Parts: sequence; structure tokens; C-alpha cells
Amino acid sequence: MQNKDWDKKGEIMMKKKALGFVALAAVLSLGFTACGNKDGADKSTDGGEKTEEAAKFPSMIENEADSLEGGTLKVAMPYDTQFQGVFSYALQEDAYDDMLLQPAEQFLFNTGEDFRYNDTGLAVPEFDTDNNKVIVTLKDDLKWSDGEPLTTDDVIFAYEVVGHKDYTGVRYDDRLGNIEGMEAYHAGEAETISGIKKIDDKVVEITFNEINPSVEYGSGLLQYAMPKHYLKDIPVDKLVESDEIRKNPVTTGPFTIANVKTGESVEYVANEHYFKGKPKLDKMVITVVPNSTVVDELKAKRFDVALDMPSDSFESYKEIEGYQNVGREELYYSYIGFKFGKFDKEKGEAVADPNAKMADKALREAIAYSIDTEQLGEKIYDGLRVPANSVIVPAFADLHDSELEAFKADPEKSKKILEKAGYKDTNDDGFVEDKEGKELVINLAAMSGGASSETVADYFKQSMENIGLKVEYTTGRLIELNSFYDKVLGDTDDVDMYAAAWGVGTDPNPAESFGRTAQFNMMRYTSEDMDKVLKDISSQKAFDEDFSKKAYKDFQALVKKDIPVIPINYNYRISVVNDRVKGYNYSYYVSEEIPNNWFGVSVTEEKTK
Amino acid sequence: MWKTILRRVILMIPQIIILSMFIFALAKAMPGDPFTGLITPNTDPNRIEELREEAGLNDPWPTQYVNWVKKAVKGDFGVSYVKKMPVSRVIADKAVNTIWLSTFALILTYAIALPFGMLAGRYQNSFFDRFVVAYNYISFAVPPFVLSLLMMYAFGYKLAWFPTNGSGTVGIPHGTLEFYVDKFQHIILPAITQALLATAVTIQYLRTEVIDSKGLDYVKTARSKGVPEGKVYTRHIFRNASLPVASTFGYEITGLIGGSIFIETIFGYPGIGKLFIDSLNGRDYSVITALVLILGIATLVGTLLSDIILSIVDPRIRIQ
Repeated sequence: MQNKDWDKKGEIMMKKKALGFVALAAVLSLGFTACGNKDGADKSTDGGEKTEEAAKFPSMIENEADSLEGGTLKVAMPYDTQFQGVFSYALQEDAYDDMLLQPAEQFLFNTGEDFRYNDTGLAVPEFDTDNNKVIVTLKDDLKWSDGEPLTTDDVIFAYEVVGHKDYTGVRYDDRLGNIEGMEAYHAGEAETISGIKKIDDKVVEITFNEINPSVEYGSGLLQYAMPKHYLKDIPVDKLVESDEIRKNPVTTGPFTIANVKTGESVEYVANEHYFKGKPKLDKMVITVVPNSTVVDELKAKRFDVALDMPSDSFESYKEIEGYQNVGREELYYSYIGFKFGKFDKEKGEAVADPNAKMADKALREAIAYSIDTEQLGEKIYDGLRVPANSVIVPAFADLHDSELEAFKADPEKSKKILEKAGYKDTNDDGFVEDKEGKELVINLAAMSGGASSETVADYFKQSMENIGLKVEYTTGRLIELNSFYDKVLGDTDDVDMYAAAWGVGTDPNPAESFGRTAQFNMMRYTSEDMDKVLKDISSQKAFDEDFSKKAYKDFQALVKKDIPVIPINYNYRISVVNDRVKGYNYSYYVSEEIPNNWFGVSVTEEKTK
Repeated sequence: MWKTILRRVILMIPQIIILSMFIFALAKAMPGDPFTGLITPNTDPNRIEELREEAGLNDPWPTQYVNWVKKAVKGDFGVSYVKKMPVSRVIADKAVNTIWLSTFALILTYAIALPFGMLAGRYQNSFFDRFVVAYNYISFAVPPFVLSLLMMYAFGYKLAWFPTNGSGTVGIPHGTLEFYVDKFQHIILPAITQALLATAVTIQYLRTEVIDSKGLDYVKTARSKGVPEGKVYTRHIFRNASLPVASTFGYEITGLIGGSIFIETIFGYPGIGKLFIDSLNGRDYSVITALVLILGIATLVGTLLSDIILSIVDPRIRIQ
């Protein structure tokens, strides 16, 4: 499952780097994990608990000792495959490459606590919503790591690469296509992008065909520049394999990449041209370490920091002598989705089938009340997961509706709902029949791969059986990732509901996973109410904060009401940090003074403690 | 003999073609494709479709196969979907690591197995023999991953004699003495593990053959001629006893390229075995097909080599 991140996290990170890292493989396994402990599950606790205990893990460790000048920081990156080694945000496709590029790249735009672009990066964005424009102003005296000045030419060059007809990556999308003249340029009909205008070496103006609030979260705006002086002579389709990207990239971050051992490790040295000055550390090395041995490596004191630890073995690294844990809530939720219909390719939209097995809301509601999400997080993840109440994750603090009540496990209530809706056991097999008295069998698709995939899936199945629903696994067992998505995205008839996970990215707009025309509306759920609320969220009016908040609140309430999905858990991601490390910031937010997570890091002792 | 070799080589061509078709069809039959994992909310599904079309993945598989063959005969295996590099470069990169590791492991294997097998056979039922037999049972029975983890735990962590990860330290300039020492340090633990796992068959063959040969006429003749006992074993018996070992030597050479999936994965050693597994998981068709083809050819060549080696060692066998 190594390279396949179904979750969008990997993607998002690339787009909006400030977020940091996500382990793809881990995400998959996360996708499905929860608890199969029967006894535990029966002893339901307060399931509807609020999920605001966000400070469960600190994102930074206080270290009072004085920093040493210089030193080498040894960082482990748990990963069972080798990294690809594409050191360019425009060209990479994988979250591990992203993690590796982070020390070496400084974003043009960092994101604030609300995940909107702010002015703490290399450039200042200004949104002129009336004229569909974004004006980007570079800060003074910016330089690439080779000492060459960074100008608006480099900013524009990034758009010219990503939009190029020979461009090989996945970064080009309809949001970039929304820039005036971009489509013509992408088709190879224009030499330049008419909507991107260089005012001078510092200022560039980007005009969109149509602007909506997503632009504040970076939609259609590249977060990085590319060194034109260094890359301009390489054909765009050869960039990704060039040594200028893979071996000796020219970058903007606090460190530069000095040596690469392909697939295994990367050595960084301090960048004296960094816009905030040279970092305290002389050197950094990030090494890939298999998930199976990372804890032993730490115990042997071979690393100062271990990034993004595997989340299904928290117990093994909860307390390692000489190390502390930092954590953050991932932009991610696990959920159960119900199938409402099929995607009509001709029309390009989801078409719900009113006769679908799961079309009856009572049935979905009964299932929602049958599952104890709190037990899942506690029993299997040692508390690394908490119950989810909404599909807008709490990290979007201003949009997440913390008041919304999560479904609280109550099997009796479930049974009553079923009975009231006309689901009765007429043939005494212990399971209810459908309203017409025909046998009801629900097909649940669940993914294999994670350490606890099976336990979790069994738990879901059991919970439903407890309230009298007959459940069978699609194909009779857990399904491998690729087949799983072939089935779920392909709308095959043997899937009535599925258990999966969704990374929400840094743009909170849920249109890609709930919109009528979205392919990733895998439920194929549609309703006019949903059309309206999504339209509100994406409208010009939503630049108004109150309007936007209300629209998001309505959206979350609607999901709760219609139950196209049952949110299951939010997940904490942990990194492990040695006691000699100072200033390692694991949060999504960076400050004005320390605009890159790695910039503020130093060590306080010669050796790893 | 040259004629025979030539004939065998020509015979390999249809075998390779059939093999490649088989592999190609199977690879395509796997669910998903290299772009499946890229479909995420922030990538435009249309962009993915565009890439898929450009890569020719929407063509029927026979068309794709023909296109692939046209390039492959020119040595162009295309570009890895996952690593975004020419397949030949991806494979060459990892092959170097695997060949280092396997060669070293192979040398160790014979360094252990030949003396063990010979001596155990010669001093049958001695304490040493019993030790070798016991060792053999254990090394044959122990699953590769168990031994790997044990070795790693004992020598990598508890005693901390060896590094436990990767094929070398980043940042040491190529070609310096330090570079090779570092490389050697990284290889030694997986190599010993691989060797320990591989010795059983060779030891067993040798030991049995030596025991069988002891009472044969030619040995008696040699002894009666007054050949010293040591020489009887090293010259006369060894040559005959090594026949079954020699017959597998060709395959061993093939194994040099194939690498070990278990060992490479557990030791985090980036070789061909690991590349293979990763490519399968990532649906990296171009790498999978190229690798299987190369390994297939290596196996066919290995068979041929074994036959040739056997005919050299055993004058009674002549390839006609």
C-alpha cells in the first residue's frame, strides 16, 4: 500500500505546504481501524462527547536549556518504501517527498490558524475580489539558495511550468484553469498566460475568470516559485527526471539539499541566503526508517526526531526514555458512507436511486446510533483517535461546528427507529427484514491493509448485527485498496455502504466530496438542500465571514440530518522528539519570526540523549 | 557444445515472448492503475484522465503490449509511473545495491557451506557433524523474517555493531575509502543473514555425497595408491561430491540479480527485491514488466549456465 495514498492528504500537502506531512501508508491503515473489543464496545460511554480537547498533545516541547551553535539534527521518517526524490512542489506527487522538501523550501504564502494565506511567507497576497484579482508582492532582498535574486519572473515561471502542455505532474487543475488565459496556454495555443501580469520585479497581478472564497485558501494560487535562471533550459517534460530537481535543487528554505542518497536519505546544510537569516543548525539529515524498526532506532538514540509515527502502534512509542511526543490533529476523518446511486458519466453528475437499499433515512440513522466511535478510538488507538461529530474537521476552528452533537451509541434507540420504520424480523432468523418483508442483507465494503483493519470492520459489522441488521462483507472479506476504490468509485452493485477515510485538505470547501458533480462524492448522494448550501459556500458572498460561517454551519447540520455519511473518528498524528532538541514546531501554523517549521530548531547538547 | 548453447539461446526467444505476454496481461489484470492513487480531491479527475490517456492506459492491452515491445527491443522500458524516472535508471540504481549484497552473501554462503559440508561428511557422527546437522535443521526451518529480525535485534540494536538501515550514509563522497567501508558496514549484517539462510541445501548435498562416496571404488583405489587422506577428500571426493552443488550454481548467479524481498525489506536495504514489491504495490507497470522480464531472462540464462558448469565439472556429461 506504500505509494497509494488514497487519501487526499498527500496532495493537499503539496499544494499547501504549511501543513506538514502525512504518511500515506499510515493514512490507509488509519482509514480503517477501530475496535473489535466486544466487551468494551458494549459498555458504551458518553459517545457524543465534544471533540475540543485539541491540546491533548502539545505541538511543541519546551526546552529551557541554551541552544548550541551549529550541530547536526538526525531525523527519521518512518516509511516502508523508498522515497521518490522529486524535490519540487510543482512536480512531486507524494507526501514523503513533500516532507523532505519542507526544510529546503519556504512558501511564498504561509497559512494562518484559519488556513487562509497570510503574509508571513516570502510574499504578501492581496485579494481584490471586486476585480477577480490577486496581487502578489514579494518581500525585499529575496534570494535563491545559490545566491541569485528571486523575482516575479520565478513566480510566473512556476505557473508556466505547471500550466505547460508538456507538464507531467498532477498539480494542474481546473482551479489553475480559472486563471485568465490559462486554458489557452495549457492547450499550447498561447505563449504566455494572459491573466498573469508582471508589474515589476516585486509585484505580479493574477486575474481569475471568476473568484470565490477558496482562493483565500490558495485555490488557483501556487504556493511556491521556481528558479527560472536554473531550470529554464530544461524541457518541461524532462524536468522531473533532471538532476537539477533530484540531486541539486535550488531552493528558498532555511536549509538546502546538499546530498541525496536516492530513496534512503537526504542531507541538508544551512542556507545562508534564507530570508530570515541562517538557521542555528549546520546540518540536518532525514533518513527513511521502516515502520517496524523506528521505535528501536529511537531507543538506540540514533535519531533526534521521528516524524509522523505510525498510528496503529502508539503503545510502543508512548513513552520512550529521553524523548517526548508532540502531536497535532490531522486534517482527516474516518467515516462510513452510504451508497445512494451511481455516477452518470454522460451527465457528469451523481444520480441517486430512490429505491437504493440505503435510501431510507431511518436505516442510516439506526446504523449511526449503533456504533460507538469513542470506544473505537480509546480501545484500539490508545486515545490517538477521538469521536468525530462533523465532516469539517476541528482544525478549521472558525468553521467547525463544535456544538453539533455526534451520534451517540444507543442500540436501543436504533432498534426503535428500525421498528418504527417498519423493519421487522418476520422469519425469526434474528435479523430484520425490509419494509416489504423481504430479507435484508447489507453489503459493507471495508479495506484491508492496516494492522487493525479487520478488527474495526468486524466491529462495525457486529454493531449493526446487534441492532438486528444482517451485514455481509462485499466479496466476503476485506478488500485490497485498489479493488476497494474500483468498487466504490465504480458504483458496483455489491456495495451498500463502505468504511473509508477522507483527508480534507487545507481548503475546507467540501464541494469535492459532497457536490452533485463531484466524482469523489462516492456516496452519490444528492439533494437540493445540499446544492444550495454548497453554492453558498462557494459564492462571492462567502467572502463575508459571517455569511461563510453560517453556510458551513448549515452544511454540517445538513450532513447530520441527511446522514449520507457517519463521521467516525478524528486522528492525532504524533512525532517523537529527543530532549536535546529545542524549538521543533509540529503544528500547522508558523509564526512571522519563524516562518518555516525547521527554521527555529536547534540542539542543546552535543549528543542525542 | 557451442552449437547447443546457441540452440538453447534461440529457444529462449519464444519463451521470453510468452513470459512477457503473460506478465503484461497479469499486471494489467490487477485492480487499479498507477494513477488510481493520485486521484484525490485536490487533483482534478480530468487531469488524471488526461495523464492516463497520454500514458496510453486507455488502449486495449494488446495494443499497449505491442507498443511496449516496440520500445523494449530497443532497450527502452519506458518511464516509471511512480518514480518518474526512466525504468532502466531505476533498475540500474537498485541492481547495484542488490549485486553488492548478493555477491557478498554468496561468497559467505560458500565460505560456510563448503567446509561445513565436507567436514561434517568426513567426520560423520562426530560432535562437529552433529552440530552441523543441528545447525542445518535450524537454518532451514527458521523463517527468513524471523532470523532477520533476530539478527537485527542482536547485532544491530543490542550489541550495536552494525547500522540497521539503508545501504549507506548520505554525504560521503563516492570512491573514497570511507565510502566503501561505510557500504561494507551496511551490507555485512543482511549478507550474513542471507548466507545463513542459504547454506542448508549446499551443506546437506555435500555432506550426503561425501558420506556416500567414502566407500566407493575410486576412493578405495586412491587410498590404496597411497594418496594422503587429506587429498583423498579435497581432490577425489570433493570433485564428485560437488556435482549437485555445481548444478545449482547457475541459479545462484541468477539470484544475484533477484535479491531477497524479505531481507531487503526488513533491513531497509534498497535493492531489486524491495523495488519489486514496491512496484507491485504501486502498480508501477513499467517497472514490474521490465523486472519480471529481466529476472525471467536471468533464470533462463541461469539454467543454461548450470548445464554448462555441470559439463565442465563432470566430464561424463557432454552437451550434445
